[in-house]
Amino acid sequence: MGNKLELRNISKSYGRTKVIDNMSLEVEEGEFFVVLGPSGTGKSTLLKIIVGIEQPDSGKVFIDGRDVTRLPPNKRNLAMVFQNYALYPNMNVYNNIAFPLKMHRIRYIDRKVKEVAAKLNITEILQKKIYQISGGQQQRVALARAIVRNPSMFLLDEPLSNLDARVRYTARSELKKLQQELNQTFVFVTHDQKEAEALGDRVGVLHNGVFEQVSDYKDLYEKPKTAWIGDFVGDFPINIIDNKGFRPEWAKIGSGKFSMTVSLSESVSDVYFIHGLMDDGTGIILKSPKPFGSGEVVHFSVEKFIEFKEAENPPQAFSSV
Amino acid sequence: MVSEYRSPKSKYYTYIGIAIFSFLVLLPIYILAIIALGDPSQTVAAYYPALIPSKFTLANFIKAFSGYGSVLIAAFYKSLETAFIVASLAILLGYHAAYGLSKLSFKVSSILIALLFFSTMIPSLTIAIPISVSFLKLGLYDSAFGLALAQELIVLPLTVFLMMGALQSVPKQLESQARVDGAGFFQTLYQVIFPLAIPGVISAFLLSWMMSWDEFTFAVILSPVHPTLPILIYFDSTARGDILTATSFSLLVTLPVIVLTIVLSKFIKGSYLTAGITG
Repeated sequence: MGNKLELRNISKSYGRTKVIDNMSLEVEEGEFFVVLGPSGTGKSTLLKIIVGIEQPDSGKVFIDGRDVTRLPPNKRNLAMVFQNYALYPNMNVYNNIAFPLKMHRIRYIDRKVKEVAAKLNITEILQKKIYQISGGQQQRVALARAIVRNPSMFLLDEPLSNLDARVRYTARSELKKLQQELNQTFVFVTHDQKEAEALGDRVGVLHNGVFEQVSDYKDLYEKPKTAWIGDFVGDFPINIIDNKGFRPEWAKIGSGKFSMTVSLSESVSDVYFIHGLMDDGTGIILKSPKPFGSGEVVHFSVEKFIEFKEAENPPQAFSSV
Repeated sequence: MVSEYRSPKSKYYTYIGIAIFSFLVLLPIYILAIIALGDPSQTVAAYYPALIPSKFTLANFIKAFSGYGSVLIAAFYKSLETAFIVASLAILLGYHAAYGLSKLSFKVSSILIALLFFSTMIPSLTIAIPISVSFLKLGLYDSAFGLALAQELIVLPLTVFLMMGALQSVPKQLESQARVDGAGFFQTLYQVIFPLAIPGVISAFLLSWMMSWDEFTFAVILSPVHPTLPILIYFDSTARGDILTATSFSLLVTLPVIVLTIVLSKFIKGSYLTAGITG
């Protein structure tokens, strides 16, 4: 399978702020690619460059092997779902979904709108106004509008972040199912690791305008390339002693050459995460089957760790100490 | 969404304020109407005119308009034609100008807006005379279209300014979305942004229409042979000096404004703009 999307040395600055710094990326056909990063790291800017709303200062964008860098958004045949859905408020649901078909002069509008409405369970609300439907329904309408015309690929800018927690979980699994059904390429931007873990075939972590690591989510957790990734990915930041990083479950409590003073115990389902401080002030979080009281001293050994280097070499996992 | 707590009491104050304001605005129109329609013995001829006259008459109208018919209708039509050209042209030019200005940085656009208003700072009288000379050469003198072009000078800056406000209320993301959905630049401009700017466009239309409807200086200099309605009334009330016929004319001038305002007002209200944008 060829590359669906390729970014070649993209840079973008707003004034003196460099938002994207010489970034390159390849996304494969049919892949669900997640762009993960804290807010304000240029995730949305990246999508806007791909879709053509923003122009890169330098670099090229290829879609299906074709250089589209200078093409306007309406000539790129991409679909995008914005964070706030950007539904046309003066049109009802039906006309919102039909709009891209009309713009592309595609025939059988009525049949296609109804098909996609049935697929996304919004047939009942087709004649409703945008402000008469719920947030979850708005998200479906925005998705329907995106998939109705069979674009080359899909770009989604945090489409789940405006939903209530309960709706968000169902929407997440529906989205994954939809992508597999369509067998289309999705580029999905989020700051939520759980979404990245659940949805992404590959996850690219954006930091300081570049992808600091691109891999599947499991590797981000187990083999973070940098201390920053280790800190950002996971429920708890990675523990670091002398440039060696280890996850809470990679240490064994009871005996060993390290010790810490417990500050609190946090219960997560049937295990506990023990937060504590070592003598030199380093914060440590360990996984434990039982809780410890505040002030207790816990000894532990590290069974597995990865070494962070100053250089860009990939870190290697060891399994002994 | 702007939501702030308001005590039930403050609602009454609002209503009292609206009542006082409406009274001040409507009273002159009411007085105009009763002088025009009431029997003169109870209005202009009375020492203590009643606020609600009991005898009504159409005699003032008949006297004012009789033997005047064709001139009056021609003036009315000329005013109407001029006002609609002014308003349509203002929307056509103003919408595009406002869109362009809204794309510039605030610093640059505010300078340009200030420059636009510069044209309204020059008294109409001083430019009306050179304009009339040019219009004589161009064959636009005494025509509705020529007059409309001149009135555009005072109308357009305000229309552009109003429509910039209207365009600012249209979420930027909708424009991007339309482009992604396959709309070209002009399709986006006319099929997506324009419908959303309708309330502002209608306000601008109404305002420019009314500014033209009772505009005097340009009209009296540029179109004296076939005058507009305000000019005719001016000639009439000064020449005949009859307040009863003058009020009848005034009422005739006022009515189209009221009708147009009522017809267009349903487009002006509309806070539905941000409904498709959550968060």
